[in-house]
Amino acid sequence: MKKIFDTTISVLAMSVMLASCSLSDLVDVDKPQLGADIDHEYLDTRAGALGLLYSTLGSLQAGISVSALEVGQFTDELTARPYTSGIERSDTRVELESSIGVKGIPFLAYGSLQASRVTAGYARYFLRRNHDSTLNFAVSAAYSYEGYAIMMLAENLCSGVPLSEAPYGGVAVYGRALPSDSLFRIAISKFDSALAIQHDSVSYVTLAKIGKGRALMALKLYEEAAQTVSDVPTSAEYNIYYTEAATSIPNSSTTRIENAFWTHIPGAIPQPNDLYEIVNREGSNGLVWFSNPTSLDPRLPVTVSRSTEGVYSFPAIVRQMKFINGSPVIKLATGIEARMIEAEYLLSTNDPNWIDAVNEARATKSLPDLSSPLTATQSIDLLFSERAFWFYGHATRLADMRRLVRQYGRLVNSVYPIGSYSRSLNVYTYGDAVVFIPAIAEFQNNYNYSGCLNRNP
Amino acid sequence: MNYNPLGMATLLVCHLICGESGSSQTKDSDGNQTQALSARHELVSGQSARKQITINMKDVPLRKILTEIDSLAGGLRMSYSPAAIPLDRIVSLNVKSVSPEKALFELLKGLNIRIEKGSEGQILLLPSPSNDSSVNQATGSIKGVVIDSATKQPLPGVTISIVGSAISFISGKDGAFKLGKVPVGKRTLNVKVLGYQTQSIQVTVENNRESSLTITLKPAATSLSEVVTTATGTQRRVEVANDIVKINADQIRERAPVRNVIDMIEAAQVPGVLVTRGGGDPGAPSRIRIRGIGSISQSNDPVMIVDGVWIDATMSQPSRLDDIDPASIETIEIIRGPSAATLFGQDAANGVIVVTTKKGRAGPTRWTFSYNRDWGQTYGTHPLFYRGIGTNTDGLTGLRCPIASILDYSCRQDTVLVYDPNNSLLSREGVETKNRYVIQMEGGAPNVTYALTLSTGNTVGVRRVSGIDKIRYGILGYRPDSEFSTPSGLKRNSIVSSIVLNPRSNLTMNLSLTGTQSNLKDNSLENSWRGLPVVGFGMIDYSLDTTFGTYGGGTITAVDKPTKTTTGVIASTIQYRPRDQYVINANLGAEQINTARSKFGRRTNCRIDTGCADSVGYRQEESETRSVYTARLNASTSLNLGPFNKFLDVRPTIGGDFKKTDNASVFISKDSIPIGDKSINMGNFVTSRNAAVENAIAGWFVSSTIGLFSRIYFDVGVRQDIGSAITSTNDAIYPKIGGSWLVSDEGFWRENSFINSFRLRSAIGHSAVQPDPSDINGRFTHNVEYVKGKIVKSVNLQGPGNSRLQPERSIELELGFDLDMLSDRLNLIGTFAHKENKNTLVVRSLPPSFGPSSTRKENVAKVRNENFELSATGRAIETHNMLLILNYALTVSANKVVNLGNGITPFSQNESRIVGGYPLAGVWSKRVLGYRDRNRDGLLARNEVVLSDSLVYMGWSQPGYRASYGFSFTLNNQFVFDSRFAYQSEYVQDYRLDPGYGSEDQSAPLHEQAAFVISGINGKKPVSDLRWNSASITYRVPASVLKRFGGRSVSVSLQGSNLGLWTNYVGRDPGINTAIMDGEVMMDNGKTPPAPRMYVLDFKVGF
Repeated sequence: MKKIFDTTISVLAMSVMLASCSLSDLVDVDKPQLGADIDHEYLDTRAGALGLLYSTLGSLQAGISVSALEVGQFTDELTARPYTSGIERSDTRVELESSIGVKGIPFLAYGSLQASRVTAGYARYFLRRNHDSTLNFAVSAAYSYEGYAIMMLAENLCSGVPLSEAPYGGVAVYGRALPSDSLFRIAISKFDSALAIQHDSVSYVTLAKIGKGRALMALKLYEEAAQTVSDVPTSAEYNIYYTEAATSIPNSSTTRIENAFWTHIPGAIPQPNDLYEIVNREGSNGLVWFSNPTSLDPRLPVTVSRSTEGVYSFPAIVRQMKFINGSPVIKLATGIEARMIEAEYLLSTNDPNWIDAVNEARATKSLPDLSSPLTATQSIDLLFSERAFWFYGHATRLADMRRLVRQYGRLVNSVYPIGSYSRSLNVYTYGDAVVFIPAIAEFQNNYNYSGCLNRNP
Repeated sequence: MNYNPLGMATLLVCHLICGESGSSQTKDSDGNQTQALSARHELVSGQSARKQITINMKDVPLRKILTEIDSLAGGLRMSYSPAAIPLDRIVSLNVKSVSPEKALFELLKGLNIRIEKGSEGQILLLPSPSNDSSVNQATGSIKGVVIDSATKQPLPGVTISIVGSAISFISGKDGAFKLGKVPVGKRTLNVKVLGYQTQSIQVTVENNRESSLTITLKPAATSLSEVVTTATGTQRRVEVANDIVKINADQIRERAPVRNVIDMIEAAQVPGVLVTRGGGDPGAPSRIRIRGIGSISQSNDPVMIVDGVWIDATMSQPSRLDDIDPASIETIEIIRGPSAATLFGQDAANGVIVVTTKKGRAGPTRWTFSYNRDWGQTYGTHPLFYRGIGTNTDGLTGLRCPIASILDYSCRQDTVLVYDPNNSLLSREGVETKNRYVIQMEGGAPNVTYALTLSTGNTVGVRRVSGIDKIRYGILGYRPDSEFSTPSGLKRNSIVSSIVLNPRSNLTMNLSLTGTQSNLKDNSLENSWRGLPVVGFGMIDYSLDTTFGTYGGGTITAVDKPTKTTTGVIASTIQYRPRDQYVINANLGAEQINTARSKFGRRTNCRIDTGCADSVGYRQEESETRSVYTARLNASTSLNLGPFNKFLDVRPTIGGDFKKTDNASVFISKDSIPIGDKSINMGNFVTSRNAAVENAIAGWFVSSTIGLFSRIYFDVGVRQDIGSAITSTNDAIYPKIGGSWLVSDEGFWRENSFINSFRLRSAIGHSAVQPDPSDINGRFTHNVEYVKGKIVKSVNLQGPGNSRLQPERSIELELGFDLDMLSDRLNLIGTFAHKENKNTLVVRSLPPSFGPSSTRKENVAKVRNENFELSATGRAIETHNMLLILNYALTVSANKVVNLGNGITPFSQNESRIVGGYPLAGVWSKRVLGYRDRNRDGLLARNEVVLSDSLVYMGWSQPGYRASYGFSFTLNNQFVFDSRFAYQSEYVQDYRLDPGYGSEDQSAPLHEQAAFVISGINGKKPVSDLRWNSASITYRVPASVLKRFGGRSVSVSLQGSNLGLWTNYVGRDPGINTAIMDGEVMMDNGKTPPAPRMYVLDFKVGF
């Protein structure tokens, strides 16, 4: 019995000894691996948290620029041109219908906007862990970036886009299809959160207010939208910047920091990747973007190149000159848009002063004042034409077309490009798609997602 | 011999009724009462009675002589009870021309056995009354102690029994025993314990007297007695429920060319262990897989422990397994099965390799010098390479003209260039040489021993600049650095030292220090396509007088600084025994690896027609430090319990361990380094990154060995882990239970010389491989963004984490036996292992609503491995001057992805595919279903070949059947001849090496053209191969000669490895077709040279 006693005591003593040193402290490492060259310690610094914010913005930049290109094809902003190697690019409306968005660019646009949204949550998490008042602007910006990403998904895709969630250290939730209205309301809540944070950066306030106003307009809440943007000066701007020289920047991704619109429709010497050009009255319903290349609207300058320009031999091309060499900026939120929102609100109330807001914006480019058309329909046409010129290449044209159908009762066939078009020796017909749908990978990999709730405008 | 239950019953009834009639008592020469025959002439009748027999048998069991008498007499119809008659009693009989009856009388004289005639005429052998009852019987006692012949230490657990009786005793901790109430007279003691030679001792027991004995047992060669290392300390193999392989390093080194740990493991022919070579270059990493592959996304590498300390054995070049000089190793133990994982903790699910370095022996300093000189050359022949050349339709422009271009009328083929890569002008391989010197010293006093091994080696690899390259560089005006003449090589210096202190009798301390410094030269020329001319890209034609000789080459890369790796391991072990029954073991140690790499290259597209016009260069500098820290503590006690004292031995152990890894690396890359300069300080910055990663894991366990009667052992335990990458400790609890039953020590087991020991064992246990921390928290990477017109450093989310991730759990069941036969001359070990990896981690593609190209790991798949392993070792010839040992090892493996998880589609990993219902790393390919040259132009267009729509499973990339054979013959203890062969089959490899035959030569037969259509480059084919792994002849100078010179040992050995290959594989060597990359399978197509055919001269002197 003594041996049993001795043994029992020894075992118990050993157990107490082991238990007394907290094993969890032992394994609480400072630098858990979070990737090839990132550890938790770095994320927990100001630089790391801001790095996440920059990534949020980078993804949004990519999402916007690629969306702009896709929206441009889908709408009347751009048309595909014969490819130099002889491969015909047909119109996007047809392509998307037949391939369910399997093409790379729509996937990249969709994925980039989603990545911006998800990364924004990570950025806020680490910004708050390193919180001081000097980072308030950054938290606000993270909310706004997320709001824009969600809003643009709602603007361009069908009703029924999933928002998957993956918080840092938390449980990943595969998103379910959310109606467009819900997405806009979620975006508005993000902008409200951004506006609730006190900071001194006016441009980030502009960013949030214009974003909220844009989302409210999509919900037909014109008055609330006008109130939201009323104090935004016409000169206010929040720009996102791109570079034409991404390849010279170490570790850079050209698809993120080059403006895809500029890349494919450059303002300089034609290249083999010049895939698109501008045409008037595309698909019958398109706008007249240029009437005379020598007397152009300063909001959308164009040039017509000769067929033998440069070292390559191409058919003539009408090229945009808005995003030109240097730094092709996209003005994501501007006072111009505030005035357009106010004008639309006033128009909705039949207030004849709506044209004043339009002309206030035009004055910034020294454009002559416009007169209010006689009919409401003509006024709406004029207002949306003004929006189209102001925001050309900003990935907003599809949202406007959808609003024309959804909120103003226009027929799809009176808004979207229709009919047939020819390329080289072939004749094609525009499809009947009115919205984008999520990339095919969403259907394949999200077991909570079975597709759009509806594909109406 | 007549014996059956009915007869036995008759016998007993007769014995009870008949009493003592028919017999009388006499006394033998020793005075013992003996039952003599009263009417013996009447016992045997008929022809048998008239026979005269002669027998001379000495020291054999009684049963054997009875059988002999029965046989010679032509059948005596004897009946007796084996339980009552001491059939195993060792007796002798020497009679000449006597009757069977007389022979029986002489045999049984003095054995207290009487002979009677049964009612049916049979002969009854009955115990005399004095043996039937202890009542009124004179008895004495025997006491004594059993000790080891070598150590003179007492031996516990020894069974001492009186032959022919039920009297037995098991010696205690002090080796003491006492047998009481032993009938007087000459008695035979049978003394046996596992691991020692069984002894029979004659003892005369006197009435009421106590005989005293000291019994000395000599160790036996039985494998079950071997001491092996487990996490709880050392144990005899018989006590461990799973199979553990122990490799004696010096024995292996003597008979096989061993350059590193991998060579040693391979030469040991361990069943269930698959070694895959990473190539024939010095320091090329190899891969070890123990009992198959179960992880899809995690490492399948076994854990490496050196002197109790974890080491980082992740794949790198030079291989970490090369660092430990084989001369410094005492043993390598390979622990497979449930025990490995449960007690060695997380990540041991793939097995554990325990390396123990030499510790020295007490005595004067013993010096050993050894020198190796190696020569090696690759072997096997490349298929020929074909290149179609033709002209444009205008007949003017020369161009490459494959069959596809002929078919679309874009060119007219007029020439087919055929290249022989084996040509001396094109070959990029030469002779590998190596010099290696080792100095060892060991010695010490009883309370302190030491060992030191110093080694230095220099290997010049097989790679060479080809003759055609030399010509071309000359034409280009490019002068490659001198390093290019032998682009690969490895220099290594190492020191391994150990000191063991015994300051008190109950305290042992060991300190080991290991250091290695190596310089690896791994230059490459012409992109990264090392080893072969890059004919696949049309770069073969270096001749100057052809129109098509404009393909000059790509990047010319030179590594002007070897990769320098410095490794250090410090390991301390303390064993403290506060009381006899308590043992406390502690390990504390650390390993650090510093690696510095530097690469310089010329980004120049050198062309014969234009030369190297632009010769700016690039440089990459990389340094890395990896550290592993180990702390381990366990305490055991030994306990004999209550009324079962001596029969129930319990050894509980409680312990804990801690492991932490810390990696830090820096990488800088610069471009556009000006002509004439190589410095990293020049040129344009391209990229840089630095990383610091920590990972820690701690665990504790409770286990116990429970021994019953020294022949049945249970092994139970449970372990719990926590770690920086384990989200819930509830998921990290690993139980195990095992049993080992030494059947041959049971009473019912008839002792015989055929089977000496037989053990059955079984174990089942859980284990796990932990996920990476980034799998839980998310994966990030540095990037840059363009914010407000400026470049800023950003952090990109590559994929979200999974906070619900659990360790990948495996459950392994092992069943096996150990059999020592034929006086321990044949040893068989057989094991069946069934292992299932549940919750296997799979990298799952996430929907883009998590961001583009996001992935994360999920516990979804289930993988099964089944292995049957058999090893046999036999001493076929064993005389005083000859010893022939034969070895055989067999492994039959099967693997299956039972399911891949809901919603996860089969995915590819390089050229293999992972599909539910098929093996992991299965090889898939389309098949040619048929072809027909419809237009009879002798060319097969794509539409003339019918392929299967989908990929078809072609087979497993891992051999399903492996067997190895070996022999070692020693003559006069001076000459040793040794050789090993290995056979493997049931695996699939690429079967051709882009010869361009079917795609470039329009005269190629249609089946070759069809094969090209299906694969583009390679087809798949089942492969089998028989390899002559090694052969050696060793001469040891006799001790009598050495005495004259004061030497201890001198030996010379000529060894060869990789001496022959017989295979249906078309390429050079199927063993190298699988490149060692991150994935499990990466078809290499022979671009990497195989392990060379080596010849080694090994010279050792010891004094």
